[in-house]
Amino acid sequence: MTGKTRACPHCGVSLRSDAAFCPFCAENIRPRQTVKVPSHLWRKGLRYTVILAVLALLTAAVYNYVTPNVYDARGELTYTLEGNDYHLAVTFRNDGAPEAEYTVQVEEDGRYDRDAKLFITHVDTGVDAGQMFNQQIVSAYVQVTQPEDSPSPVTWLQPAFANDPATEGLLHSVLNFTGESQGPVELQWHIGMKNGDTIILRQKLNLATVDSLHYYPEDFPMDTIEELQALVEQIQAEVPLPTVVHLHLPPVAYEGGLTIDGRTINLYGSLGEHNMRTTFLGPVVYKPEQDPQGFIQFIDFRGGGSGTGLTVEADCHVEDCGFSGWETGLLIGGEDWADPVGCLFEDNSVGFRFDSGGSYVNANRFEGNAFLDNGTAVELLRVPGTKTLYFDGCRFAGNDTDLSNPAGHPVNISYATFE
Amino acid sequence: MRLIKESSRGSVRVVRHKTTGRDFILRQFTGNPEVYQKLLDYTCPNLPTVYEVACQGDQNLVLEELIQGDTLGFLLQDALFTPEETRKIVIQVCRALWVLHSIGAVHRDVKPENIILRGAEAVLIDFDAARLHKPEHEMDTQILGTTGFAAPEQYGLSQSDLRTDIYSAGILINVMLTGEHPSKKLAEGKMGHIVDRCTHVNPQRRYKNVLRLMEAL
Repeated sequence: MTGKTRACPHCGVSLRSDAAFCPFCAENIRPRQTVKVPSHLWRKGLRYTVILAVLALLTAAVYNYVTPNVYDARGELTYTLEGNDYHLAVTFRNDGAPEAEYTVQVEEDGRYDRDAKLFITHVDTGVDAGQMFNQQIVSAYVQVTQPEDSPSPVTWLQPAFANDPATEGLLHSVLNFTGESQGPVELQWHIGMKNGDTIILRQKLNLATVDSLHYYPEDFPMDTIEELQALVEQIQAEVPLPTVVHLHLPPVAYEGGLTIDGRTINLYGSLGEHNMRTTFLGPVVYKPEQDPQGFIQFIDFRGGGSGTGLTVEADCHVEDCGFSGWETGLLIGGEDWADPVGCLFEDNSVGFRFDSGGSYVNANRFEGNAFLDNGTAVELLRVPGTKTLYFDGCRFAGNDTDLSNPAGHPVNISYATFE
Repeated sequence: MRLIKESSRGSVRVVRHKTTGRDFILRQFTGNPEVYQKLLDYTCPNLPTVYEVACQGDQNLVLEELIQGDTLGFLLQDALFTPEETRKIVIQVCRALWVLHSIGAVHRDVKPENIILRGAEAVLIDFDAARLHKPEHEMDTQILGTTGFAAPEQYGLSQSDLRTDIYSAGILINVMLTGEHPSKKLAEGKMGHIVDRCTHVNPQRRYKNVLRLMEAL
C-alpha cells in the first residue's frame, strides 16, 4: 500500500485514502448522495387540472351560450346580438341620452304626466336601430314599484310603439302621477328576447314636492297693466325657485303689454260679465330666464294690426287663449319650445309662428286650435328637432295660407279640417 | 466464488466476504469503467450499490451489491406481466435511468435480463454497456447493447443519448406485456401508444426524458 491512507470508520484498519470499500469489514466507506427523482405526478396533476379547467370553461361557455341570460342595468346597457352591439337607453328626454334617475318637481295639488321612452341605437354607427332590434323582441312591458300606501299611486300605460324614433325611441310608456304620489318610484322595463334573454332596464323617478303660491285679484292689486307689471316684478324679486307661482288674472282688458323675464309665473285668465275674458291689448313677452315650464291659459290677446300678441321664449304650455288683430298672434322664439292647444287665431297676418333656434323639444300635439281668417295661419320657420307636429282637431278656415313650412318640418294634418 | 456469466469481454461472479459472510458481485471486464466510477458517489434503491472500482490498463474490477431476486427475463419465461405490474416496474426502472441520466450516463442495455425484482423493487443492473454521453460525438464509436432492445442510433445512425434508453424501455414494456418485440406484436391500448412513442425511429419524436415517460405511465 502506497500513498496517503486513512482509517476505516467501521473497523479502524488503514486503507487507501481513495478507497470506497473496506475489504476487512466489508462496509462502504464512501459518502454517497441520493439523487432525488423529481415527482412526475405534478405535471400530470397540472395537466389534469388544466384539462379540467378548460373543460369547466368550455362547459360554462356552452351553458352560457345555450342558457338564457338576464341583463339588469340602470338607465342603459349594451347588448350584443348576432355580433352587433346595441345601446339600449331609457329616458324621459326627447333624445337617446339615458336617464337612470329623473326628478320631477311637483306641487301638492298638481297632476302630471311624463313619457318614459326606450331608445335603441347601433353602437358602431350610432344610428337608430329600434326597428331592427324590435324584430328580436317577443315581449316588452313596464313595471312600476312604489310605496304600497301611496295616497295617489303612479299609474302607467304599457309600452306602445313610438311614432318618431328620433325623439321618442322605439317604445314609450306614459306615466301619470300627482303631487300626492309618493316615492321612491322605480320603472322597470322588461324586454323579452327571442333567444330567451331578458333585459331589465331601471329608471328611478324622484318626486320632489315644491311649494306653490297663488295670487288672486282679491288679494293683490292687478286691475291695471301698471299694477300687474308691478306685481310681476315684485314676485320676480321676492319669490325664489323652486316655489311655483300662479297668477290668477281678473277679467279685465289690460291697456298695454306685459313682460315676464325673471322667473316663471303661470298666468291664468278668467271670465267676467258679458263673456269678457282677461285680455291683453298690448304685446306680452314671456321669457323667464329659468325653468320650470310655464302655463298661460284662458287669456285673449287682441291687437291693432301690428306687433306680436304673445312672444314666448320659454318652455311653456299655451292653452285656450285667443290671438286676434296682430302682425303675429303667437310667436315661439328664442331657443325654446311651447305648444298651443285649444287656442283661437283670428285675423292676424300670421296666426302662429314657430321660430326657435334651440334644440329642446317638448309636447308636439298642437290640438284643438282654430285658425280663422289669417294671412298665414301657421308659419313654421324653425322648429327644434324632428318631432312631428300634430294638428289633430284643428280647424283652418278663411286663411290666405293655412300652413307655411319652408323648412319642411314633419307635420301631421290628417286630423285637421280645412274649410 | 460462483460464476454467473462469462464472455469474451469479461465475467460476473458472486463472491462471499470471508469474515462477514456477505455476498457481493465481482464484475471483471475490459472496457470503459467510467460509469461505475461515477456511481461510486450515488445510491439509489433501483440501482445496485457500486462499492469499489479498480482498473489496470483496460482491465476493470468492480465490486457491487448482490441483488437478490429473479430477473425479468427469467420471470418472462413463464408468464407475462399485467399492465399495472408493468407500469409499476417500468416506473422504477425509469427512476434508475433518471439517476444514470442525471450523471450524464446512458445505460444502453435496458432489457429484462438486466432488471432484477427484489421483492416489489425493480433494480437495474449491468452497466458494462453504459457510457457517459458526450454531446460532441455524432455517432457511437462502438456498437454495444442487445439486439432488439438497442435503439437504431446504437447501430451508428447517431450517437446514443438518454433517448436510447427510452427506446429500450419501450421495447421492455412491450415484451413485458406481450412477450414480443413491438414490430411483431404491439401492446394494446394506452401502453401500446407509449411503446410506439418510446420506439420511434427518430429520437426527437420519443419522450424527451424518462420523467415524461413516467408521466405517460
